[in-house]
Amino acid sequence: MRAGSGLAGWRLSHLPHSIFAFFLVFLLASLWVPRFFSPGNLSTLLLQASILIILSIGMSLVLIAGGIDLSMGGVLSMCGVIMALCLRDGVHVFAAILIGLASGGLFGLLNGLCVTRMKVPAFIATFGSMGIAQSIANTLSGKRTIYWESGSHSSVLDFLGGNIIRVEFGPEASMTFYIPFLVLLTVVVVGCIIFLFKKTVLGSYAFAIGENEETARLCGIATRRWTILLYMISGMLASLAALLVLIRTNSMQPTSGDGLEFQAVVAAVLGGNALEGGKGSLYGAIFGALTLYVVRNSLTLKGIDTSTTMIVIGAVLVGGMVLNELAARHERGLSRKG
Amino acid sequence: MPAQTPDFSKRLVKTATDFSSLLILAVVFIFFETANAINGDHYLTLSNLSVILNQACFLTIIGIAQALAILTGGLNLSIGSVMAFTTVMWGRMLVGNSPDNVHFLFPMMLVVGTGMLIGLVNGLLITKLKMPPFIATFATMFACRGMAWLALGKKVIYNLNSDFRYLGTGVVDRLGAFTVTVPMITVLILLLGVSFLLTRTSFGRRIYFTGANPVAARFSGIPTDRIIIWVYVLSTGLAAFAGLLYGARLNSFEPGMATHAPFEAITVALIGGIAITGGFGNIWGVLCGSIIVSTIYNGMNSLSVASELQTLVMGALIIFAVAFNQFLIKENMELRNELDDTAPQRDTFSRTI
Repeated sequence: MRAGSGLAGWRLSHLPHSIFAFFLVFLLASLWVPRFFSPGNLSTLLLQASILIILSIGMSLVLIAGGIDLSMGGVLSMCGVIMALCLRDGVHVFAAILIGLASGGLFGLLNGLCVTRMKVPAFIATFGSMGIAQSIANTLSGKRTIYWESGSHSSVLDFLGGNIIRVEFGPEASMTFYIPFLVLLTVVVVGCIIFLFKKTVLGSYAFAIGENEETARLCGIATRRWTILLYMISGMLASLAALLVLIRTNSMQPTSGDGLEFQAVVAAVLGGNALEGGKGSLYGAIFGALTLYVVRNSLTLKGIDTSTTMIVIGAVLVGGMVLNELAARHERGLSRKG
Repeated sequence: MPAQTPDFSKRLVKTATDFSSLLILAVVFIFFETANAINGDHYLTLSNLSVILNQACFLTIIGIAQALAILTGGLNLSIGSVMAFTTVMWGRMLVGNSPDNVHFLFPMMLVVGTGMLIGLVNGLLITKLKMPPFIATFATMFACRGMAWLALGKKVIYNLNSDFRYLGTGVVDRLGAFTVTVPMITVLILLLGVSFLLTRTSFGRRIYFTGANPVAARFSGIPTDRIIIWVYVLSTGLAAFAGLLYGARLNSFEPGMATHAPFEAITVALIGGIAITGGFGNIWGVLCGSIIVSTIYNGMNSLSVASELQTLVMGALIIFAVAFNQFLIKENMELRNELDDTAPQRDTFSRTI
């Protein structure tokens, strides 16, 4: 019954626009940067992007419901520090991960309560809790990087830090294609969230709340509870991202999450998630994050310094927004004609 | 009048709203005074007050810049980067005291002019490309920071012109232990100017109207796009000016300066009672907000609270201050509707048009 179901209703413009941006950037990078399109680099790219992909999925969930979660970076640092401290003190890795997830969820709960009960605008509530989370991370860690002795309690981490597949196309490191377990983990997590979003009421409720909270409430949706749940999911996704950082670097810095929340907003917005809510897609956010990392990775390979990279990312952001706006206008034009 | 008595509590709430930031300020003052009194110290001395006010000056300027953007229902995240980029770009003209230097006002004008140009870009991105202000100013923030690093690399511009430094550090007069500095006078003039602009000119009233309801504003013939562009030009130009003051105080310009400025500015503006939804707030509240923030920083240092805990306090404070203001603003809106039936009020909305 749905307009877009089946292949007959399939149209290229139904895809998230960031896919086009991604392929454009990918093509340009492959043609222009010599070592970009090599198996080794593509694997690195996937690994680098996976943290941002998880964060931007969480961000999109909240953005779709008309909020924003600026505390993700801070929560990432905080949960990472908590997990790392647990590992240092010899707590079993599964317990450490559970504690990390719980603290992320708890922070999400606090955010949700601030937004729904205290009626603080989401931007401010999560901005304030970003400071709180950063402060907890710094205080707990004493502003130092935390290391731990790997032992029997943390053997799972060594396993997760390895690769699933490793194919050597040539003798050099750049010719080795590998898929780390972390990428698999990301795929599983993202898959679960997308499944929840598409196959349960979560997704449609999020859209309804983002489109018009009052109407959603009058339609019998417990808007407060769902909003809180969405913030909790994004908090837990931030702590999962912290787990990825922790495994990748085998240590945890209390500042590792700083600024990541803004990158996640950029990725989500590039993916067509509107800041005013009620519009967007999770796939879009994934490709938004990938686009950002393709730009970053290719400019680094080309030997261009980070200051130019910042300017280019600003330009990509503006370009992506223009693309989204043009596509939206095109769609409006189509619907008016049809 | 007896008939008026039930209104008394409501009127009290309304008065409280108008002075909500003053209330918070009083609480903060009392807290630090008692906390220091336990240690046997005296906190609210004249000399300490002048230190607090002097620190608040810079915060007030970026707070005004942010408040202008927030009043239109927007946001300006480019403040800190613009401060860095514009001053780094023209800062070399302010170095040293050699007589063949151009007058220091000339590079200052260039700095503010460049800031206004970036503001124009902000405004055009927001109005013509229909980008949300958050994203548009985020993009310029990224780009400006990058250009600042590109222009100067890892170097620092230091040893600035002493006439120019007078703007940031000069002392006008000493009233007992209270030192009146040049930044205080500058900020006072600026506040008077912006307050006049916002409350006594049609441009200012249109800013409020655009922020309160952009659609209604457009339909009543207000060129909202032009208003928004001008506001961002002003806001970003002010940010560049704040950068000059900041550099004059530190005696250096560097590309990495003031990374937290936009967020400090948001904190200051919101604690000052500017509504994040736009169209509501008094510019003098920003002064209060910046004094509150600098009092808290100063007070926590006097109690030797660790810097990482200070972030926690600021984070919690901003949530509670905004929740408090939000509550008062809601009450105030309802009261306005009730009170408007009985007597015309001299307030923001009845004077809007």
